[in-house]
Amino acid sequence: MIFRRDEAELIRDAKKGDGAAFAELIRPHYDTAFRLAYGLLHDTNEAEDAVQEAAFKAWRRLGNLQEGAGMRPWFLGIVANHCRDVSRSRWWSVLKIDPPEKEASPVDIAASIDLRRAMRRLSHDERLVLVLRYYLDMPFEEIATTQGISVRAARSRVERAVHRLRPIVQVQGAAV
Amino acid sequence: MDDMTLVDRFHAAYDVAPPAGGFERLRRELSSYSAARRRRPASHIRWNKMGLRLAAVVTVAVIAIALVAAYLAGQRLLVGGVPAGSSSSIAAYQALVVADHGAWTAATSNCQTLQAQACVAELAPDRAILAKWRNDVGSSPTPQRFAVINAQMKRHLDDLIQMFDTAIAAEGTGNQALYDKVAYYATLDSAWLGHAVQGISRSHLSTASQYTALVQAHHADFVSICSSFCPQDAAVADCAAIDDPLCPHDIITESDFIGVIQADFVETASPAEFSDQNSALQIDLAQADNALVAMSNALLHSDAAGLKAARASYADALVAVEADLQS
Repeated sequence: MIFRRDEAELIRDAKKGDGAAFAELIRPHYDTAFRLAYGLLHDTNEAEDAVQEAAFKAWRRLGNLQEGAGMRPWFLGIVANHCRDVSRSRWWSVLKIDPPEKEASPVDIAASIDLRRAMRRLSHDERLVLVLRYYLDMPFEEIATTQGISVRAARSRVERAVHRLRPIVQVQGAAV
Repeated sequence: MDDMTLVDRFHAAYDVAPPAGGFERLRRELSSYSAARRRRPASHIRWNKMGLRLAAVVTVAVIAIALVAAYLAGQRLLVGGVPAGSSSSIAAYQALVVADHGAWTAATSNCQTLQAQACVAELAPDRAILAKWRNDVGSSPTPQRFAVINAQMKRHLDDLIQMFDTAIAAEGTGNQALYDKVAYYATLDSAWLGHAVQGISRSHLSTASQYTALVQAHHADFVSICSSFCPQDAAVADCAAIDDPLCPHDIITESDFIGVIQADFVETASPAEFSDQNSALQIDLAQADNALVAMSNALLHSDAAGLKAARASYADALVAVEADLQS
């Protein structure tokens, strides 16, 4: 993929220190980045903060983005890495469960809490591939690009993570 | 549980819209940050290992400054005594600081986890590099132009060395949480030192019009960022309570903002007719900087009273800085 002219101009301006230009570059990916951060951190405030921090990191590293590389997987990779650091460093960590957006039945809410709890028992990398695949609905090709791995390795990681998730969800589901 | 069931369950569990205005807040942050940094989009130097390219640039800069220092020292031998604060003493000080900073950025570890033994082993040598830097700036003659920033540099180096001691202690007890906390707050000192060294290494005597333009530009930044200027209850607003999760981010961001201003006024050294105003401004900026360091330490040690006191000091310092920039 070749940079569109306007994107190339924005990148040039952002590299010169224009923050507004960089904001325009990530505007199309903001919602996805937020959902990714939320899927990994389980807290809306922390997710917004993480995307913001990741945006500053990405801006500083913009010189590393190679021409032809997609902005979205590159930025999402930085968001994912930042969320890994946040998970390690959040000393205020507690189990936070934001209320679901829409009206949900008690059974649905229990299932949601069950899944979130199960996710917390997985490693960061396992959570990441599950969120990319089943929450952000990414094809294996894009998961691979985001993580800098082969498509085959991406598929294998997803399968392993599902294999680890299943029994936890089923056991907890039975207990609810 | 097949793939479609998983998709449904993930969406049911996680579907949440981004907070209203989230992107606009980010856009504002990025825009105001670039306004504050003006002409300074260079990357922060934190705990990351620096690339060969940066090391090469630093090496070239050190050699160039050393050559200038050597040339000026030679001139001094030819023409006799040189008054304090002369260009030779300034160049020597710049060379010293750039060399120490170069050693630090080339050597800083990329420790992320205490489980990585090779990375943990880097902590003690890195601390030794900082200690040498601290000793150098504490024992070498400091030109008048750098008196205030030198005192602040010592303060940040002391703070960073203390962070290393805490990190090494955390390593001893396998306390990853404490290690992570220290690593986060150390970025405040590390980034500040990067700004300061940049300002020192580029320092030059400005004309009255250049200096006035810089003051006006920073005053405009203050007005736009603080809306007239930061009142007591708005300064680092998320730090009103010690358990506010946004407070650490606020402190780091504010420190960056203040560090850039401090560095700018060292880089664009004031002409003699503005020396009094410049001294007052540098001292007030130092007060703001000290308050932010105190706030980060209060957070590190969960000291609610200390955080409150430091936050009040920061607000007072901002009032003084804004007045300095207006005068």
